[in-house]
Amino acid sequence: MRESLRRASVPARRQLITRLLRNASLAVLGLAGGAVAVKRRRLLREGKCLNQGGCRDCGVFGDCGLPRALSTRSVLARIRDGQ
Amino acid sequence: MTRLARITAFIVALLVPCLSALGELRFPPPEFESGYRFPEMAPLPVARPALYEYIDAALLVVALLLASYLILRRRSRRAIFGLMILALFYFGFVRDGCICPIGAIQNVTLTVFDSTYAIPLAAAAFFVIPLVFTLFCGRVFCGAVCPLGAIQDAVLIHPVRVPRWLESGLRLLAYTYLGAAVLFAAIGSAFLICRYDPFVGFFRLNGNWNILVLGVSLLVIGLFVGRPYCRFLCPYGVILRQLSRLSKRRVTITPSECIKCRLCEDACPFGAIREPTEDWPEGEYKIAKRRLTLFLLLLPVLVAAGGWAGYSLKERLARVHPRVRTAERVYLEETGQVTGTTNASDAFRTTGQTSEALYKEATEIRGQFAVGGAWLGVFIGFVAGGKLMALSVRRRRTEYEADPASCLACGRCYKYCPKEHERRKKTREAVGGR
Repeated sequence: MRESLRRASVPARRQLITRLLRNASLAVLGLAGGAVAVKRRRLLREGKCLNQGGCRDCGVFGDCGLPRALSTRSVLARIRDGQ
Repeated sequence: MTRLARITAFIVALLVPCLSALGELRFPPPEFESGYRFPEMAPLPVARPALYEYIDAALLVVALLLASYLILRRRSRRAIFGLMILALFYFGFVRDGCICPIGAIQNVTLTVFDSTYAIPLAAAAFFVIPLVFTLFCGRVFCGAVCPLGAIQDAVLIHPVRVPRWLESGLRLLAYTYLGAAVLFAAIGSAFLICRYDPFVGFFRLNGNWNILVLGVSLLVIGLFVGRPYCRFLCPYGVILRQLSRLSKRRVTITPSECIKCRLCEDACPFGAIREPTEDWPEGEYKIAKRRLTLFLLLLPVLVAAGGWAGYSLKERLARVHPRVRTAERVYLEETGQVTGTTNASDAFRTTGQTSEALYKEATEIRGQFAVGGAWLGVFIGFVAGGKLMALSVRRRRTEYEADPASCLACGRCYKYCPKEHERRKKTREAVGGR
């Protein structure tokens, strides 16, 4: 009786551990994703370039106040004005 | 046309455009006297607007949802293969194989270790999304979405069985590759996975000759050994392997009760089907227990040996870093041990930085490699010890099962199961009778 109880509880115990680990992994992935987003916002606030210096296709180029972006915008404006 | 002829035609069609890598540029670059050499790697793809990257991430989610449905619900190898070819076309050839989750490991590492680096959101999404799907549905990414897996799966014509001990040993390469890729990315030396991606040259129809040869070699091996890169080298596969052990749903060979007909036993080209186990005889059990104790005692020795070996390799590892190479060259030039200069040493002198500052920087990088190399060795020692211990542990199985870690969710085993045929027949009848 005791032996069969022990055997029966093995899959249940394994399932519980698996579920715990799965939820822990999901939590880690979620936290890591959140940390990445927070880091991006922090770097942006500190005036660091998020696109490794390349303004082309940069999502924040329009509002970026970094020197490279400012000079790129002024060049683009001059081109647009035909100067 | 036989299957072999069709596959040969497919490989030739795939490889012929790569011959353009040998072609000369129509307007070759001028030959400067500096002796500048172009970097020996596949050219980077053209930058794409951020919106496209979000569309790609959305398409990845759609492809994974579809893959999960086809693998776990529809259970159709033909449909899985169709999706795999579509994924190869889009994520491989259209998107030039970039960004891929495998390479994104390095972006994630860099964002952890470099406080000034922000990972592109698309790279983060490509890294995380397949992991989340693996936690719920097993390795559906490997089965039907990964372009690197698809290109190898498409050429597999005559699979041979790799002994389990050899497979387990060879898999250590993937762990080593993962550890090395993380180490080099963390120190900011190189993105190893991208540099040595064997198939990216095919996707971009261009690239370094040596890497193209490596890719072709893997495809030739892949004619007989199922997906050699995925099984023995893929660093992302190592992570997916561990997470798939925790997956909520996974591939089951039979849709109902297993009748142990053994028809599926040879169906899997990746050796992922595990046979039912019997209770160990008392004598064998005792031997296994003793062996496990021995390996447990051996584990710290392996970890320490690995750490020491990794630490001893610090000089060689550090030489991969361009600053260390430049420092060594500048030192040789300044002490008169070599004549002439290189592009790197000339470029360094134009910066106006002092040699001492460069040497100090190189020493710091060597120190980082000493610590990182030791950790890499510890990791490899730990994995090797774990693999040895796994030999002495036997999980009880009452029927034929796909090992969740090794199963690449290709769906080949479905068509071998008589119970699956029965299910399909019933489904057809139910649909026909409606």
